[in-house]
Amino acid sequence: MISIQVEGLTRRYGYRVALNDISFDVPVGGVHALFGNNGAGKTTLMRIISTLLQPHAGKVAVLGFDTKEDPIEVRKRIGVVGDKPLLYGELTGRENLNFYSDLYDLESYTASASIEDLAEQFDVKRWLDEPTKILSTGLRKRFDIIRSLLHSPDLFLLDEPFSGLDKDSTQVFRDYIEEKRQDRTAIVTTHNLSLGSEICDDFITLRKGEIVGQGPISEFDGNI
Amino acid sequence: MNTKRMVLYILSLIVSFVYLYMVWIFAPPELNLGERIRIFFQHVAPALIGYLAFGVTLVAGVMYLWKQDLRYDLIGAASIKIGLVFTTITLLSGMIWANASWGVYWNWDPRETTTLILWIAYACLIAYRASVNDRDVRAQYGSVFGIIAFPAVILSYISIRIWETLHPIVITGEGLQMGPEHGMTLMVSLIAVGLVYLLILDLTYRIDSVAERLMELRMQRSG
Amino acid sequence: MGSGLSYALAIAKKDLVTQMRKRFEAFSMFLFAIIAVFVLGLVLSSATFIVPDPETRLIVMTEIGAGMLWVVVFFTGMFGFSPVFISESETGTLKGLSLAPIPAWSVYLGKVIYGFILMGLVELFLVPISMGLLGFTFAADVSPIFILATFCLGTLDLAAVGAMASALTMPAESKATVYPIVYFPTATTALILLVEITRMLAIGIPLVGPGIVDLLIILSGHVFAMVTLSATVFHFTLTS
Repeated sequence: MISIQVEGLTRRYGYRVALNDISFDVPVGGVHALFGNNGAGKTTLMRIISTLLQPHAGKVAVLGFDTKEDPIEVRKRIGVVGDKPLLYGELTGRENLNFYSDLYDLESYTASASIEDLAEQFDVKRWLDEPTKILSTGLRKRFDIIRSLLHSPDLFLLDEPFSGLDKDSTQVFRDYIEEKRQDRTAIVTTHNLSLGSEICDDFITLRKGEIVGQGPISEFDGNI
Repeated sequence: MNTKRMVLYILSLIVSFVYLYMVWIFAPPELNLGERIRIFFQHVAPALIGYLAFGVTLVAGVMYLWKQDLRYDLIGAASIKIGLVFTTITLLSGMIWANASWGVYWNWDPRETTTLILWIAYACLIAYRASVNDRDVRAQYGSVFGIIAFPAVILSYISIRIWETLHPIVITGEGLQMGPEHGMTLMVSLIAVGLVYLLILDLTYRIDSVAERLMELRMQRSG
Repeated sequence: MGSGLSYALAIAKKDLVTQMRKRFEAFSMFLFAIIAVFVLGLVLSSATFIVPDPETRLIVMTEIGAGMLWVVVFFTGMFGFSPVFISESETGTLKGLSLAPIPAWSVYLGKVIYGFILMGLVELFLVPISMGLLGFTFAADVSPIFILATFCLGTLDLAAVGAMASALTMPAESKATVYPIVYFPTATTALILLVEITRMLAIGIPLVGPGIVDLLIILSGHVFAMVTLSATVFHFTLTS
């Protein structure tokens, strides 16, 4: 079973090529690192996998669904965490999470149960009813991670997930990923190579829109 | 220069001369309008071709969104500029006509008003496109704007059927409401202005694509 | 199971709750409308002062005032509708809506519903105030259904156009300058129809020219065209 299948993927910005005819497969399960400098094409690739950007050539399939043809099916199965929390500052944590549960079509009963559950795990229970704009960056990040987990996605797309996250939260999140790594897949992009090497099974390195390195994490030479 | 283009240029030149001859010499003075009928041809032909130009922008926008090919965007953008020039000619010739007939340049007649809105809408589209830096995003959002601006064209076109206006309804279900000489002159003027439209569209498209190609090369050189 | 409409309602509800907590947007919209009515009323009263006959003067005031009301709503819309997408794009939360497994048109529709309710609330106060200050009333022989239909269709049209204009302004530089040049051209068409219809509602239906029903049908056509066109192409503003 393959979770992400990328075939001949090309994407341009204007006349500049961001991704040049890249192909790779990611199996189901495990944590996979995506390394690369700024402008290597990491973010573009993540945006294409998460259906926010269309490929100009080639195709990407997530758990068997084409990102261009079936974006809604893909979105149901992915959880995305980026550098900015996707939360509304005026709303409380609970209201934010309820809003997203509505958009993900979760039953209100199961939704509130899983909100309580995740809030417990990430230790934000006492902040659930505060407007998120008054919370610290770390707490907001935790709420954002809970938001991405509400619909228990099969594929996590984590773009610099540990930036702005304090030590405890990082540990909690790592434990969560660790616990699910058997049957769920995670793609992590990070500048923090040592942390990346610690949690990931294998890696792909991008440079100027092309894959320049690939293999089990033990073979990673720290060169991006 | 390739043959097709040569044919287009020569054809436009010939038809333009025929158009000049028919408008100023061939067409007889009209019963009510007298010699003012000559302004009519230079008013209606650019107006209809202007609508056509904005229609081309609409179609090019749809094609761009479908195919994601920047060439469609170049055609659409070129067509806005030309449509705007023709709409300007329409407004000016209309003002000259209004002054000759009623002694004022502007009557706030519904057709006039809706055509002015049309002019403003597409002028805004040009300004809008200039405000978006990213080439792809400009094409994408510009195409969307080009599509949602089109109802203004429809309103301008149907305005004389909604309101009592100074504008006569020339094209009805039963055909053209005018004498045969005037009908022929109108047809020739439409063909002439249409050919001029194609000619300018072709030139603008080529100039713009060369400019883009140049930009592309400069970007590639910078890495 | 949710339908596109239920997602739209969830988004509209979220925006209304946010607006109720922020308050200043709705409040400044309302204040702007009052200032505009005040200035226009001042100009109108001194400009019509040269009409000696009080009865003629009232008719002139009514006719101009009815049109002015929509001009005020039109400009107030700039404040109300411009942030609907721009602010979400600036805070980054628009990405959350783009990532949700819902059709793009329901995001657009949600914003239109929100804009409609927000503007409707402002109008609830604005219409009676401007009737007082601009000195117009609705003609006695006009059915209230027409008045209600005009305001609903007009507000919906402006909300539909305003939301789309906000979406189109997202990638532009200097958004405050660009928003009006997207909103004005697409909204003016509705404005012309609305001024015409409201004038008829105020001075009674004229014997010549198109009837009020004809114009309402054309306005509905415009609303329908703008909503369906925008909803169809909206996903191109979320994914590129």
